[in-house]
Amino acid sequence: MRFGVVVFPGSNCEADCFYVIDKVLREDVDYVWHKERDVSSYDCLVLPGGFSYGDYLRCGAIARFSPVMEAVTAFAREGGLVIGICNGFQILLEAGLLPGAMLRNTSLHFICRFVNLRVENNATPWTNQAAARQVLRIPIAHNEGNYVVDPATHRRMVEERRVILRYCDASGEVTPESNPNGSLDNIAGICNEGFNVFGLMPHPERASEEILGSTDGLVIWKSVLEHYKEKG
Amino acid sequence: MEKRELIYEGKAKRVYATDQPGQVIHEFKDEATAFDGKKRGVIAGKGKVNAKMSDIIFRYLEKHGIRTHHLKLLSENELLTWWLEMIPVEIIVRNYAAGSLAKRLGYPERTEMKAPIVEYYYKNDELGDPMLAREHIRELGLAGDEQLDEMTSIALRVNEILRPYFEARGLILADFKLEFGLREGRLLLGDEFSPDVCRLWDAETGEIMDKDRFRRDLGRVEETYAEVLRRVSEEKAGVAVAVYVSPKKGILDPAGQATLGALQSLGYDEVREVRIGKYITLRLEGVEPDKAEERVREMCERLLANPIIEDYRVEIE
Repeated sequence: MRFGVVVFPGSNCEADCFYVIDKVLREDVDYVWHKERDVSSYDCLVLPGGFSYGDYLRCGAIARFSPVMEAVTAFAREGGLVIGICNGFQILLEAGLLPGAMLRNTSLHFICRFVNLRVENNATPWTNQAAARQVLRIPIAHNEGNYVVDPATHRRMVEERRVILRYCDASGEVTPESNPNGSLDNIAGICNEGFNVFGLMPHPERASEEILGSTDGLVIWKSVLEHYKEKG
Repeated sequence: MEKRELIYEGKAKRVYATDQPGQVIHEFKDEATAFDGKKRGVIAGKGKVNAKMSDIIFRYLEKHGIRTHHLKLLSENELLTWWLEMIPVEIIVRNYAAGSLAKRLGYPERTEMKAPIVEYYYKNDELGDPMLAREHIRELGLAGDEQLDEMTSIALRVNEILRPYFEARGLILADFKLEFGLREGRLLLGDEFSPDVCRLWDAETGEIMDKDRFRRDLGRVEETYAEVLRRVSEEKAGVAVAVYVSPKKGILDPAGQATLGALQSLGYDEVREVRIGKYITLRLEGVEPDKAEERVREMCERLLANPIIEDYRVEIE
């Protein structure tokens, strides 16, 4: 399987993603510069975390007009697998590839710590290796992860099981206390209608080796590999 | 500032020394020549127009990062500038076919070039200012390769700056000539910028608005020079726009909430709501005010605001 890790000016998690795909998953991976217009040779695109374009104006607002985003959009519209992590998620929201928007964390703090996430749908390309309602321990690191979306869209997303990850406590209960940033309905990760585009605030690439304190991020990476193997 | 001895007299200017080291006065004349001096005449008021227009254009170019010899307008037909050791190469930038270029390429007059064309001419009256290739310039030792590259890139940049500038004033910049020189080893744009050294066409009527009126005996020469100056002098301040972006009603505003709490803890109990947004100012040029609002709204929808979480208000000033 061939991954492309998209690099915007100001991305800073691209090397971590590249490392995990290359050294842990042992799959093919390239960096894709933001000026690239052809992404057709990849099976999955990763939009990594960071501060693309300094997060000026709004997180992801300027990155979404990068030349590469036209190619990413076309790739996603044709059913290509796209995962946006943290700032990558924010870019997907700004680009309209996923619904909703991000506000500042209610605490007004940049939060960098491990959180617990409940897998709400394990029948997706991104979570098929998780048990039903499995709790994953993966870190977050963001200032704007307070997800909002209009009530009608939210209802539809819940019905269609497109809310993939929710912040929860260690036992898997979704509680106000376990919500780190004020996100609507404790939402931490969502999919588009076709489930080929996945955006999440937590960083699976930072929880993919024992030495980092958790390997739960591998559930996500291995699910993509499994999906690719099944579907070709 | 004391005007001293005459250093140089050209077809359209006299250059005088001053009591300031390295500074000279350019006195613009009303005399006009064309076809390498074969045609001669006087355009009343031309000296004043060219001095004033050069003053305006050079200041505009300086503001946009082009280094020129210009210091200031001294009187209605005199400019104070740095003295430059002139490079005897004239650089012509052409956006449209006109005059010799139309002949050389066999294009009808006024054909727009696919990209601006840069030409070099040898500033040499005896030879009749012939066109040069880069290799000729190297052969004659008129300018170094790097210097020529720098002059070329400045000339193209000047074109990028001035084309929209004239367009906003209803004029098409068809072509123009630049001359460069060195001051303490630094390349500066010299000479003048006036209807004598460029071709300008009225954007609406297509009327010729430059020295071609004199060259081709088209009449109303003085009036045309005055009209160009009038348009160039027009203050195009542009349209000032203010954009207010605020969190949509019903959307949580964590920063506003925190500030509300702080205000209340200071005893300002009357404060019931704080919403924190962004105030963005824009300045647009070459757009009519009524069109400006539509454009800025589009900018808000696409980039400046996120309609999912933010409202925006546009004020045209």
